[in-house]
Amino acid sequence: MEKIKILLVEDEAIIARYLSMELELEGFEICGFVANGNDAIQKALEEKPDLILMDINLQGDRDGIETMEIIREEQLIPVIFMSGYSRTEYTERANKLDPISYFVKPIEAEFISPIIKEYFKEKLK
Amino acid sequence: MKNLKILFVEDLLTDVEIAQREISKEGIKFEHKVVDTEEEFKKALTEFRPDLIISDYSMPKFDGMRALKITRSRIDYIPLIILTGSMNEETAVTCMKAGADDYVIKEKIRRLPFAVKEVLEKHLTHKAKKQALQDLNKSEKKYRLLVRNLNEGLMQVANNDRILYVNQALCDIFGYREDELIGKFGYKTLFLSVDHDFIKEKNSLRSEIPYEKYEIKGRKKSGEIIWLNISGSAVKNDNGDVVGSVGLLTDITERKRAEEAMKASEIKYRSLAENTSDLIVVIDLQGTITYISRSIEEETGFKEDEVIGKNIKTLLTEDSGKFALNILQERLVGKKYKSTFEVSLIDKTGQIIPFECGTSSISEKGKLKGFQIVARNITERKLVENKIREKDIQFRKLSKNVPDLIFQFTRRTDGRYCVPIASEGIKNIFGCMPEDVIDDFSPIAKVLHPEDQARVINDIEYSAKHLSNFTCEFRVQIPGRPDQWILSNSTPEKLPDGSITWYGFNANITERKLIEEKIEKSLIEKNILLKELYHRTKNNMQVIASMLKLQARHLGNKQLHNSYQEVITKINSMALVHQKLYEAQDLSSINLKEFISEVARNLQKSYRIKGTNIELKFNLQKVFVNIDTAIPLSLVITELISNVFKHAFPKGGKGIIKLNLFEDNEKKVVLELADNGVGIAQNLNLRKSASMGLQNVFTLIEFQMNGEISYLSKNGLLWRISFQHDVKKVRI
Repeated sequence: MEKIKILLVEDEAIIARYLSMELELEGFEICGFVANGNDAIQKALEEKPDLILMDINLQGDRDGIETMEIIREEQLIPVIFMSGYSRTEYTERANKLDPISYFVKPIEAEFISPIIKEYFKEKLK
Repeated sequence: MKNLKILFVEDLLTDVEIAQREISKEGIKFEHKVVDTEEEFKKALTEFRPDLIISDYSMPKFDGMRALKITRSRIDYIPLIILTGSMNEETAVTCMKAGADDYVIKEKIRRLPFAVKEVLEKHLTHKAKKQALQDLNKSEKKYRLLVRNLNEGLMQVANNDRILYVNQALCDIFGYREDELIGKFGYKTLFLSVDHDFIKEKNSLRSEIPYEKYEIKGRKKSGEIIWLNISGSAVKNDNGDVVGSVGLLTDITERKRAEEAMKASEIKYRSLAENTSDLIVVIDLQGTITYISRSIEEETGFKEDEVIGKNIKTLLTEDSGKFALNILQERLVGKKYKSTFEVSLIDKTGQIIPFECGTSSISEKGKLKGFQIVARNITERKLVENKIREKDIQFRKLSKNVPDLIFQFTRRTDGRYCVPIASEGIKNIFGCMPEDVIDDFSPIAKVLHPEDQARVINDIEYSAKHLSNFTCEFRVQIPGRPDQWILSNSTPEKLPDGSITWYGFNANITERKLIEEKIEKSLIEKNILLKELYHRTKNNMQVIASMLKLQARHLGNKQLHNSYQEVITKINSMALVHQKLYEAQDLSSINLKEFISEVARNLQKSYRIKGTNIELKFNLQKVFVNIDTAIPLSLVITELISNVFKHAFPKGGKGIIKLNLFEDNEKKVVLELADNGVGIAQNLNLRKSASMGLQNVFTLIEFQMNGEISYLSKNGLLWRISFQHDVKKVRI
């Protein structure tokens, strides 16, 4: 069975570490975690992950939605957004990118995992 | 004088000679010609042109009657004498009837020269008479023409007043045709029945009063009554007897009407002038009083006759006299003058009385004759005016040093604005002078900031409509000055005439506005900072939670792992408080209804994964609390709900958690948490339990929140927490 390859974009290193550990335990492959938009774009085009877990607040000038927009111009990669802010502030912009889901932090890996598995259930069979 | 030419019509020359001799004997000089045929006679009439014809009565080739006939058929008149041998009476009469001027019998030839003389004389007289008649005829024609074209109506009547003659103008005056009038009785046709006797009397007295003029009403054919001026004179025959009248008639209806209207208006005017309390004076161009109304006595103590004939100056103070005459002088030369002016009269006791005057000129036939002055005693008005002026001065003194504007503002019934009273502060506020706006709002409208104009006018109209206090802040742009913020405050009042007037003040609040703007700006900055702070706090808490989770993975000790897990859930609940705070509009209060349900659901998600199946039932009212209450409460709720998940249903299965939130009668916030689980042992005192979490719950509620907490174990466990709360009170 092929593993689902996930790129984690999160500027808080501890949270990134926690999430990647939890997701690996759930059987996903974390192909990298990056803290800013430029790195995310580069990594996404290099690694071509199955999914990007994208925090909206990032280091640098670009936020997660903008970063995802640029990636989408090159690659059609599914995305799950995470944000410290409530949904309303970003929903409109984020929804244009048709995300799988939109999580408000705190994020428990155990909530994300079932959603990813459901989305990729064909591939996982 | 040319010679007399005599044509003899005679066949016997001897007879001619005798006749010649007889005529010459009497000293009559003449030329002559003799003919005895008709042809010769006719020829001689045109060529010889005789002055007299002497014709034989009977001749072989011609005869006297024939000659007479020819002669009389001509235009000119040539006298003709018949000379005959014998003549009976009958023949003589025939001749004379046929037009002969005389006849002489040959036996009495001596009579011939006398007959010639007589005939010639008679002929000359006749000729002169004829000329005179012709002349008369001519002049009558002229006269008739004159009469016909006369603009005035001319009518001749007989003594019985039957109409004999009318001219065209008369027909025009009455609207009749000539033939409708001739032969009719004048008085019946043309005048009113009330005047019939009068007219008849006039005509009958014509011999005594041969000429007179009078005015009388007439009636037109249409029935319309007209006024006539009649000049009547007697008409006499050759014997000097009065045979009728001739009248010259003029239509004076218009003049009469004007006169009547004038009379009526004069009567009206007189009674007005006499009864009005105003003083009415008429003066001539020199200023002499020609009329003064009766009120002069009441006003000044002078009687009318004491004043009439005197110069107007004598009634006035020296200055007033000069002033008044000056105004009239200006009027005289056609200059523009003030329509009303004030003068001071001196009354009989020497007291000075103020009057307000209006003048109008009096003209006769387009020439200025004098002036009429209407003067009103304004003593009382003056007193009031003076009082007002005093008040005005007081107001000005009072308000002079106030930099703000104190004003009376009026909205007239036509919707126009004006500012009848304004303090000098208007210079500072609107950059204009108090007198600029007494009758005109435009100096103010002009400087209102274009963006604020509509709003200001809207607010004025609203205040006018509802008679509510007017409060408005707006900007003013005065050229050469920076924009200023003005606060206007005033109270409206409806006046009897429907206009609305406000009393109030305007103050320059630019500095206050600038400070307000600064404060607002800093408030926004503060809010941004606060939001950022909440966000970072929440973020940091998550980092801590994540660290603990990472650590917990490596523990391998179940009990320790659970303890970590408890701490993590509490950190997450506290993080949720911060999230709710920065989402809150005021950044300081959170809605417990939302918060509690979200905490409970988060815990449910966490524990469901671990195999529980517990349903949540909420009955939560909206209650807002601040951060000081929310943080300890979040810890308490998390602990108590977690306990239910962990301990209430040890055998699994279905359970229910009920959460009630409300404010009780004493305005205390009450939170009830009930489950239908196993409850606790009757002898167990939870206050004294070893659980660190529960110890914390009691301490947080009772010590930190000054609240009350109790529990009841019956068909499960019921927690009741209540606390006093003031959302505005924030601990600093």
